[in-house]
Amino acid sequence: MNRENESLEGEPMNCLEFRELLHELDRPGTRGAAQLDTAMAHAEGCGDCGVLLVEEESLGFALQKIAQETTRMPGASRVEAELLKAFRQEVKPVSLETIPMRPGMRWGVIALGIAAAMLLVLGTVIYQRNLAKAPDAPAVNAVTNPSAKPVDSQSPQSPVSAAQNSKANPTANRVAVNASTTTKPPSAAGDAEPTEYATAFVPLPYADDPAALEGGSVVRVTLARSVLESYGLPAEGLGAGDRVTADMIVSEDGTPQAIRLVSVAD
Amino acid sequence: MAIGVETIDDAVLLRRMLAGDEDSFTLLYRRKHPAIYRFALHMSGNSGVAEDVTQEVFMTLIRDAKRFDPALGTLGGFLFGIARNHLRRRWDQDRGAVPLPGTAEELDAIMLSHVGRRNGGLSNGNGNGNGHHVAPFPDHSDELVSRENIRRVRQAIATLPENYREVVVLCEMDEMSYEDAAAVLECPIGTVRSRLHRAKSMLTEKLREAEHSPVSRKSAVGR
Repeated sequence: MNRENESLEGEPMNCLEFRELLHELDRPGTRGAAQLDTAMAHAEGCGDCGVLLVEEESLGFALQKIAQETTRMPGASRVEAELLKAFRQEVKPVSLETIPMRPGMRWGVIALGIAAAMLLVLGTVIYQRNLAKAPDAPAVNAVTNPSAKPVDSQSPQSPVSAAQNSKANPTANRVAVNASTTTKPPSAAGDAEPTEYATAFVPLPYADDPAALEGGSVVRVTLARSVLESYGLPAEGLGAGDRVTADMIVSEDGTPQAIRLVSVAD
Repeated sequence: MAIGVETIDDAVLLRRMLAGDEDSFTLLYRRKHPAIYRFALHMSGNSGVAEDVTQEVFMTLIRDAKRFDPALGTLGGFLFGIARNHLRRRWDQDRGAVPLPGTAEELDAIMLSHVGRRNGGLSNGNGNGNGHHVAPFPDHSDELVSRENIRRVRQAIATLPENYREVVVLCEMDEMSYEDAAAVLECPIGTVRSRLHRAKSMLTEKLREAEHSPVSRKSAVGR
């Protein structure tokens, strides 16, 4: 066999390979079509495979002829008339704008919406983390304080309900910041632990879904004045370098949802 | 409307059809029905059944076009799928009762009745609108092709088991890709490929036999 008789990989095609590819030599995008030249070269040098190729050509041509001959439906016009009659009865004209660009696209839009929402949440989390890295950003004392949960249960109201209630009455929230309640520290240690005074939880501006608080954690942070103001909390009387201790409710996805100020008395 | 109809995308026509545009529906019908009819004809072996099935397919399109999801395949594939379901339903209802051609003469009468009645129309010649098939072999003129050979091929197709016959009709006559055929037949691409390979081997074998011995045929069309 000469070099023309070699396959794409440089290997000559044998009869077995030829017979495997024979039926798709004229089918674009297949391995057979890709190796057409090699296959033809093999057929030239192999009598048996040459016969198979002729038979394949003959069959392919006959199939094409049959396809052409059976394209025309004898009753096409009658069927068309009946279908049009049915079409007029079944399909009522509507504005083209009410029809989606492509039926089935609805699911694509939904998927896109979900992806956009996830990106938004991710962006918010990243933004918050970057904020935490800033010089005057809140210093997180406990990333997720497991002992914080019992504190909530000891509070006059749970963080979630407090935040939900606060959200329902934003005006009261501002007042609530100054009204302190006594609670035990998040560490909930023994009697030697200092007493804490805390305000009610105030929902943060972007905490739009109180239900998102379910399953969240309470995190103790130390905030600079500028950060306090960025959350919309009053910072009168605080100097630029002063820091305030606060508890934040962080939802499962890490987004801060509500905040309360904490004062620790020894 | 007649200018450039071939270039209007199926999805555009379908959208207009859903909005109640009759012309768009007519164009879709004229564009798609030849391939559907041919598929139904070869699968049923009966022109009356094929015509009924074709009509039912487009009735389904009128009533249920919103079921079509372009993410799952082409409109052509969707219509073939409907045709296939209708054919199966018929076979289930009239198992063994579908009047099928039993002799070469009957087959010829059905097939040859279509010869010479092809019109240019809106079809691309093979009726499926794809036109991607590229024949690498030298073009044969009609004179060189034996009518007897075509007759034998018709008969051989009719005697193929249903699974094999449908891949031959879809992939060879309708020039469907393996991917589209797999979507229609709801099976893996590899299955389509292997079935087509096997079907063509069977056809070749049957043609060899027919060439060497006069036929006494009993059609096995319709399972």
